Amino acid sequence: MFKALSDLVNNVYNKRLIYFFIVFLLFFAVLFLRLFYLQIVNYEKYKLLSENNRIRIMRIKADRGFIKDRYGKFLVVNRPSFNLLGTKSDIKNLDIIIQKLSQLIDVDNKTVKKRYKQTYYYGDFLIYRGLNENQINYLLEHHEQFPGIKIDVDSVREYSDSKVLSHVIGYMGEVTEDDLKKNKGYQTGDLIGKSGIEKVYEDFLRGIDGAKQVEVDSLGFVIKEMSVKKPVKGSNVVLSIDYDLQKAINSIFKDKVGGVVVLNIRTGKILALYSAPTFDLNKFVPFITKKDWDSIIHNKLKPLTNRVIEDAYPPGSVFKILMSYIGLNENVINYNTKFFCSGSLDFHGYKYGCWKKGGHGNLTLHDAIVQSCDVYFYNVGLLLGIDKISEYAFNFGLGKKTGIDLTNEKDGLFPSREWKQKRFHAPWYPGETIIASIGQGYISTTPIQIAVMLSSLFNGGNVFKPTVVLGIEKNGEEFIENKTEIVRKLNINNQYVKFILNALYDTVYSKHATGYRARVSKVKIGGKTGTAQVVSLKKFKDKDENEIPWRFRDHSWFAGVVPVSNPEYVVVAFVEHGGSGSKGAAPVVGAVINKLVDLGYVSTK
Amino acid sequence: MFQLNRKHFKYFDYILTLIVLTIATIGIFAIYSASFDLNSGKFSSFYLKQMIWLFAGILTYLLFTIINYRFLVKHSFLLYLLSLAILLLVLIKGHIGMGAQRWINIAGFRLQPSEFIKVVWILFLAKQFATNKIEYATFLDIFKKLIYLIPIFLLIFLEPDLGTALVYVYLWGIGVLYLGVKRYTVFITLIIIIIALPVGWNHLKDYQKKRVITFLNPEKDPFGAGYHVIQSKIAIGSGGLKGKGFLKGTQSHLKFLPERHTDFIFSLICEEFGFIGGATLLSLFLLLLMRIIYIAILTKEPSGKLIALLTAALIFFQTYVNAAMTMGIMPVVGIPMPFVSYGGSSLITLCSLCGIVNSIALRRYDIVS
Repeated sequence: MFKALSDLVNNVYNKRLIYFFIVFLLFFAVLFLRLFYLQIVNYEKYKLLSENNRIRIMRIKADRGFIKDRYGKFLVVNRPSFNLLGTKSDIKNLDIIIQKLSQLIDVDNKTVKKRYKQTYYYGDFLIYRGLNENQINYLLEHHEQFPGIKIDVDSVREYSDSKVLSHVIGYMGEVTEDDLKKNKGYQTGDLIGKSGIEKVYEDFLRGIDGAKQVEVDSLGFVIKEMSVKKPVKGSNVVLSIDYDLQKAINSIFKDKVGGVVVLNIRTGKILALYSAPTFDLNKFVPFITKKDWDSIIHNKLKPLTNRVIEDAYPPGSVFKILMSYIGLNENVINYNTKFFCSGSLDFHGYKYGCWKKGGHGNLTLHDAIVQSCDVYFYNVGLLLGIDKISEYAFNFGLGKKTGIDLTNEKDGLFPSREWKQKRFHAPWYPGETIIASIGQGYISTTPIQIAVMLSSLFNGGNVFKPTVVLGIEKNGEEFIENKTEIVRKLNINNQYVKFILNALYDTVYSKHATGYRARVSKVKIGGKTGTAQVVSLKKFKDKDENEIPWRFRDHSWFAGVVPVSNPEYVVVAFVEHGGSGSKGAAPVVGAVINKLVDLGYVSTK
Repeated sequence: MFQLNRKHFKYFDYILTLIVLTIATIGIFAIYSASFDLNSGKFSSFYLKQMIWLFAGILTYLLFTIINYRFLVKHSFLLYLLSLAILLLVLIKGHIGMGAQRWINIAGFRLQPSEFIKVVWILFLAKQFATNKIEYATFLDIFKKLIYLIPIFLLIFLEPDLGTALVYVYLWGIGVLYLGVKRYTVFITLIIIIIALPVGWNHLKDYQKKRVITFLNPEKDPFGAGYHVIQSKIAIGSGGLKGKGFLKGTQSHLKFLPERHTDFIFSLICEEFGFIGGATLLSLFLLLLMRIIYIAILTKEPSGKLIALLTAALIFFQTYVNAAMTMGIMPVVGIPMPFVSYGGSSLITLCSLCGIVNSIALRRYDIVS
């Protein structure tokens, strides 16, 4: 293969090489001509364009989408806000400008300088958000004193009610450096959803910014618009929340601390999701002052925390609903199985007490649920063992995020043998199973997990990823449904569920009912109380609940289901330091269900 | 492998070496200028890194000059198989960046194998297309040669890196043309291409389609690629005859130009050194092409001729596409300017190829059996 070419052959190939070079040359001639055309023929034109950097692209911000409730009531719209902007290339001395401006408005020197640095050469940067009328007038009258400064209309959020839905809607804030680095078209000073729907649905809400290419004069004024790309308004988000119901819950809750969730167990859509104390979204418009922010985050009651999804507590006796089902489904008990409650259970020398010191005597599962007997469920737990219990709990979604479309959801915890080994390098003790059987010990769950657990039990085994959004309204017309995802399908024995529902009904309505405070007259409901200990209350054992300091009182749960004959909704209430479930949370659920009836969600027939 | 004697040094091609060094030095100065930020008054370290790359490039150039290119050609099939394996590895385990899987991490360096493998491809094509008689490629011939093109094309196309994949096709096409084709072959090929075009179009990614549309109709995207071209044209045009002077290119320094140290380096050179500078640089490239073709003519050994031709064709292609793009007569594609744009992979690849060409010049009078 490395033989040299004969002269004849060589000549032919050399000719071809020369042809190739001629082709190269011709192509290069085009380059030379083009270079000549740009640099010599059109020099004046391009020189002028370059001297003042006269071709600029200006952004046309897209209007943010609205947020509506399930009936189309506008919860969040926009209103104009007047902002003060500076154009980087047109400002000669930023310090002097800031100094002059600070006599009129409260300019944050450091932030403005940071924004200035992050801005493209001829780009605009935000100096102040939310000018008032006097400030606008002054600036317009004296605008020649502030070269490179302009007033721009931007939109900010306006809330029909700035308090009762704060945790769901979420607040807006300025983009962080991280957001800018991700480079999704945000510019320094832009507002972005920071929590709740505003954050989770940011990409839908924000729309697509437009732009216009303009030619400006040497002072930066637009003299010619060259082309325009129109912005696309953000989509509207339609919540599954009923504003009227949400508002009613706010007044039912009054000064209590805690949360309520109302979940449609057939669709996985949330009808109300309330957390107290709430915070005022208006405080974030047009921007939150340091004073306001400090007062929110230093508030001991943590108003920013969405207690329905971010706070996990032992569910207490509410867990007995699931325990009953596991016991029946695993055949360790049946409807007639009886255990004797003497007020406590002796296990290897330790005494595990029932809430009723005197004991319940001999009782069946039905009575154990109605009277919330602890000893009965200790026995069920010992028969099942922790492995079975945690397997079921996991399948029903306890101790794991539900995946709800809101921010900062917490896992909570449901213990297992492996978990304990990993966490404490220690084996699981049967005593811990006893405590877990009544929803205490290591177990902590969020109210939304309890709601999902109950809904999967009562709807035939569909474990939903709950959602607060019905769908997205694109361009104000096309509606894209937000389908609820089914995470897991469980095989449920409906006979057992019927039995449990019957017991839950009696828990509210029978003679010894622990949940009688949740009674509703117009419709039949079922429910279960739960009490989660904060501290061992031995110290206060002789005292009346009202005499115990607030922060040492038990947390109070109540999980309700309505209508009990054919469940459609679960209502879970959690009251922080509300005392027993019976006293604190049960009346809340009763009142919420009354409202559900009034609003026509539940038929009274 | 090396086979060097004193006679060889006599034929060391100083002109080729000098042109390459001159162009690369212009590149260093341009990158130095591009590294300068007028707002902060500071330099970034691109030019320092490029100097290190150039040093490595010179060493590679010399190394490949010393190695007997025939040794490489002889083993090019093995190198080709190895390249396919590497490209497959990139697809499976490569570093994912900007939505594409083109890179591989070796000892802390991020390498783009499809760049280096161009060297292997040229050696391999030289072996496949070398012939000692006057031939015209028939359809069957072309079809046979396609067998080697398809796997390497697909592997790079899937990264996805259509631009680089097409360079491989282009080099292959040059090989076919060098072999010589009859008129009717050209005619039928054109028909096939026209029929295949819509099919190919449907397989393009959205951004690739967008680029073509943008080029055919710049009005469609005045805010993306279209904007860069406008700014680049302003930079070049405002340079005028003599330019604004070194480090004085306002347009490029004020961050109007994106990628000004890589894809748009030519705009900066034209802005700061004007028509004189731009035309000089293009002339240097032309001189380089001329020298390489001259070496191709000098050697009588077919694979040597092909390597030199394909190297010239590659340099021509990259220079032309890059310059034409900055001047708005070609779509914006990410092809760097040879020896000038910032970046190690491209520089090392081109230095290797020019080193091989020098090796051909060195051994042009070797007796071959």
